[in-house]
Amino acid sequence: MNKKELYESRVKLFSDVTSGKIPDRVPLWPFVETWAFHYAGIDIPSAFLDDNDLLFQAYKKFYDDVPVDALASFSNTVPFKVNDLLDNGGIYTLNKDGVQIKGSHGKMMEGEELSELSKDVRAFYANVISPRKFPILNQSLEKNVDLIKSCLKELNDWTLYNAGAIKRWEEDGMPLMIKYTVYNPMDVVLDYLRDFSGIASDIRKRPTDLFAACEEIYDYVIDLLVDTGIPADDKFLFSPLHIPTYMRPKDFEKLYFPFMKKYIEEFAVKRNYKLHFFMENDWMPYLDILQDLPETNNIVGLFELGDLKSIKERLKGKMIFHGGLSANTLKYFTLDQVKDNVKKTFDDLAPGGGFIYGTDFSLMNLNDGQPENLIAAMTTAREYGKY
Amino acid sequence: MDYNFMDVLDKVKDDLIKDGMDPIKAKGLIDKFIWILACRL
Repeated sequence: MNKKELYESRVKLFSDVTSGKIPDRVPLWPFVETWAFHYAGIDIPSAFLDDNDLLFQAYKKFYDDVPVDALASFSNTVPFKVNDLLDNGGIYTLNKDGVQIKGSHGKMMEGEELSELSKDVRAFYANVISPRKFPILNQSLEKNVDLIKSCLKELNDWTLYNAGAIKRWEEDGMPLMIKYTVYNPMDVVLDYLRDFSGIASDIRKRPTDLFAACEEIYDYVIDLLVDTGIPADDKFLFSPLHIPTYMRPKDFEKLYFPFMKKYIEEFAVKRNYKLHFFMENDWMPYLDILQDLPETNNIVGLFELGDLKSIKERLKGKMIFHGGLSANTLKYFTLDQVKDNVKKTFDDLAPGGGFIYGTDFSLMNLNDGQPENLIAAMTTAREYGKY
Repeated sequence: MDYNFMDVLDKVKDDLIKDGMDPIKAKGLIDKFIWILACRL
């Protein structure tokens, strides 16, 4: 099989699952982020900023050693050189351990400002949030014009830098199955505008203002997605779901679920996009609410905790189950225990299809999973997962 | 700041169009950049 055929055969495993068919075997898709760089012994800042051959080589080392069918993220998802030009006002920093979040920098506005945001998100982001977040922008209009032009050039260079590595992985037969990230508006408010304490207060004190702001943010997010012109194909639009399991189910149903359902109806059902949801934490208390999602094969849910077999059965026809390989298995199990765990997991989750095997979390640091355990899990799964 | 930052972005957009970029593409680029400032960096 040449590289092109290998690439196509790997993509077909996923497209079979999302077409409701039984694939030749269960697709293997662990979420591996900066773990790959630590494993390969490649300096993360150098790979992100200086030489995209290092970016390419880190994941090549990973997929050459670990039998997987696709990459998820390639980790270099923040344009740090743009942030440098803006005097590092952003909420992320980069060091040898990878991407770090500055403490409490996610709170960029007060709850009372949600109503102003609702009037015009784009203007609020530009005129209020941006100068507040990046004090360097408090300079003359002429200097800012030059600065923003430099930022746009850097942004373009960063896009090309990543595209070069992606092209090489895919020519090497390894698909990158996530092509764009779409945030639920509530997660935008949590991650970038109000932080955890702020949004927790908004949910209690001003849910109407919060929902109205989310409606406007949703429209902006969707406009950006449509503007990309990304085609509906076998690759996924990815959404990490951060806040839901910190909400009471009745708050989730009222404030978060409407946007999730609307997005699914518009993009998975009407436009035939494949959507991937990273269902963080334990979703067992929310499964009743998820029953109100439409029937479709176009959605994959990566589940972290809970009764996995029950989750898969209860969401059958609404979400394809992704996951099954826990952090504990990767960290603490012996090789024989890993192999037994894989077989038990497949006995529970593989029958009938609708299953993608992978880690139930993103591997960041090397101590998130012993390499030999990850290799053993995927090697066992590759054989045991044949239909 | 005695002006709106959006004025800066509008000026950049106008310059991109003068330099030959399609107006719809230029607007899309500026909208994406606003998003990156607020929700990506």
